[in-house]
Amino acid sequence: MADTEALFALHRQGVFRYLCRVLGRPDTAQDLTQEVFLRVTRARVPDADPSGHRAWVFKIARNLVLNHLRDGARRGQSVELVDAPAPATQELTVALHQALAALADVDRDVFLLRESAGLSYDEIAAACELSVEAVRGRLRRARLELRESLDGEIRAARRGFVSLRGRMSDGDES
Amino acid sequence: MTDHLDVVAAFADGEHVEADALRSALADEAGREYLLDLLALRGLVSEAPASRAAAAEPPRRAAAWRLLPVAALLVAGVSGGFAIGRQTTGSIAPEPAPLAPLVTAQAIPPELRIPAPAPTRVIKLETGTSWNERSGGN
Repeated sequence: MADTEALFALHRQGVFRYLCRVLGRPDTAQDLTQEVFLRVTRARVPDADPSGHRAWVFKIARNLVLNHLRDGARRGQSVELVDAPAPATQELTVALHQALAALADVDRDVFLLRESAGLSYDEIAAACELSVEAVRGRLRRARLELRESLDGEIRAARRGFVSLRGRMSDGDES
Repeated sequence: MTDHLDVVAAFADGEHVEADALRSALADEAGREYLLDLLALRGLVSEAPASRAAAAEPPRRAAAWRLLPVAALLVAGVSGGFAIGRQTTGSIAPEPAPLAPLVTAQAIPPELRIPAPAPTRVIKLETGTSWNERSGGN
C-alpha cells in the first residue's frame, strides 16, 4: 500500500496547478487541494501498479472540481469586474481562462491533465474513465479549438522560444 | 491529416510513436505547423498565471519598491522639520506660566447642605404599559 504522505509530496503541486487552471482562483484551488488529500488519506490507496496512483489522485481531484463547478453554477458564478487597464500577462490569463471555459468539460480536463499536470495518456484515460483513443481524440479537439481561440497569443508565442516541456519546474513529478 | 496531428501530438507529449509515422507527419507542413502551435500553446499554459490576482501581483510589488525612496524622503523631512522646529521654539519660547494653586474638593458638613426642592409633578410607572411611541412626539 502506498504511503499517503508520499503521494502528497509527489502530486500536491500537480494537483494544485490543475485545479488552479480549471478554477482560475488560487485560494479555492488551495482549499480543494487540501480536500483532495484529505480524501486520499481517508480512502484506501489502490494496491495496483504505483503508476496508477497518480491517475487515482487526479481522478479524485477531477471529481471534486467538477462537483465544485456544478455547485457554483447552481448558486450562480461571481463575476470579477476589472476597471484598470490589464497588463499583458493579465490579458493572457483572461484569454486563456475564457478559451478553456469554452471547451467541453471533459475536453478541458483531458487537456489540463496533460498540459498542466503532466499525466500520460494512460493516466488521463484512467482518471477520466475514457479509452486511450478517446483521450487522443479529445486532446486533439481541445488543442484545435484552443489554437483557433488563442490564435493571436499563439502567433506571438511562436516568435519566441518553444520547448517540448513547457515550464513545469515547480515540483513536477513526471 | 488527423493521423499526422495525433502522431505529432503524441511525440510532443512524450508518448511512443513509430519513427516512420513521425517522419511522415513532420514531412507534412500542417504537421510541422501543428507541432509549433502545440508547443507555443504549452508555453502559454505554463507561463500564464492561473488567476488575474496572481497576474497583477508582480507590478504591485514593483510599485511598492518604487515607493520606498519617497517614504524615506518623507520620514527624513518630518524628522528634520521636527528637529529644526524644536531648536527654534526652544530659543523663543516664553517662560512657562506658574502653576495654578491646587483645588481640593472638601466634603460639605450636613448643616450647610441645601435641601433639594420638592417635586412639582410625580409620574407613576405602571407595569404592563407599553412605553413605545406609536404616534406623535408626546
